[in-house]
Amino acid sequence: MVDPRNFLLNSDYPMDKIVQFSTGNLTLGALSSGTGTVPHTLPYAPLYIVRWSTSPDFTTSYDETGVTINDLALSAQTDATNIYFIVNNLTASSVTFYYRVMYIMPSNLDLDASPTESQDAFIFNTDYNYTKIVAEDKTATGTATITHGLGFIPQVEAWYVRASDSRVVHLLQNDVTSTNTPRAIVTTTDLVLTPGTVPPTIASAWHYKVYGDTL
Amino acid sequence: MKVNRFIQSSDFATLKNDGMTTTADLQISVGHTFDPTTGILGYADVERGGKNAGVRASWLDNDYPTLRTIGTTFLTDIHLSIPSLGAFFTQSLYCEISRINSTTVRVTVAIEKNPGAPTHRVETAKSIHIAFSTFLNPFD
Repeated sequence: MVDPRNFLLNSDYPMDKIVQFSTGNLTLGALSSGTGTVPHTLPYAPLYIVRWSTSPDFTTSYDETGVTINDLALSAQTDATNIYFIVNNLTASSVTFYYRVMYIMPSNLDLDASPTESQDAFIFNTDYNYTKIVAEDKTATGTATITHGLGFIPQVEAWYVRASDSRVVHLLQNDVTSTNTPRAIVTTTDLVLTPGTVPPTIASAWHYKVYGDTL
Repeated sequence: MKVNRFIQSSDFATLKNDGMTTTADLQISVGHTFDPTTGILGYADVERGGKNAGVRASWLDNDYPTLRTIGTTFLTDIHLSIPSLGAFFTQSLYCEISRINSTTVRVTVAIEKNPGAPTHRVETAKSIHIAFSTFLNPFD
């Protein structure tokens, strides 16, 4: 295999294709938590990447965060109808959460998608690297070892399917002290996915992407 | 158009990897004290990536050397004490990476807040390695 790290873009490897966008905001009162439900109009439970901010210009911005060290937190889940935002506000004031969502079709589906546009003037620009997918799939169970054999620590994205309700959850938080929650461990040769043990966050399957690029 | 049949297509937006392969080592020293009101032990700022650029990261704790994880939040543990009470305990430690402005990413290390609790002290040194890349998204 030609080392994919040597290329900004390589037609030997697919790239992520964003099939739909969603933007909006949710306002949550002081010292409260809630769920915002937003339809996505895709005929499947999509993979997704969420960015959120407390300012509409997204100067300070976050990936999904669980309730950990922050007074404000937003995480998400999808099914075949909606994206669900789980939002927490532990401050003494009402807060508006601005969100931007990028949806990606799971790799195991062969469906049509409508074109999407970029705000950038360029679809591709050699000023940037475009991460190259060397392995992607949906696993059959919540436990899987994917041998990528790259010889270096690659970039990885993973979403798990909840056994309780089949919702798709972007795995952005991992606990090395416990196997209670779904977890992804990456080595120079493998991606190891484990399902967790505590409902409702037990994984029945995984969608994964291993990129031929280092972090 | 069957999008998954194409390597790429100019019909679809994608992520632009603008900040590549940045690494940082977080060192938490024995004797470090902090106020549990905020829970924050410390943070490190790294200038990487552009406005609203998201992060893809991996983490490795020297206490768990075979468990390199992915994601933007990393949970491990740390040995602490409350010197004024003579109490020693192990607590969950959270490490999180986020963008604080259009040029800077911040890695924050913290425990859960405990407002009003006495000063905490780190009893065992910890070293956490993070590697990350940043991605401009099609909104910007």
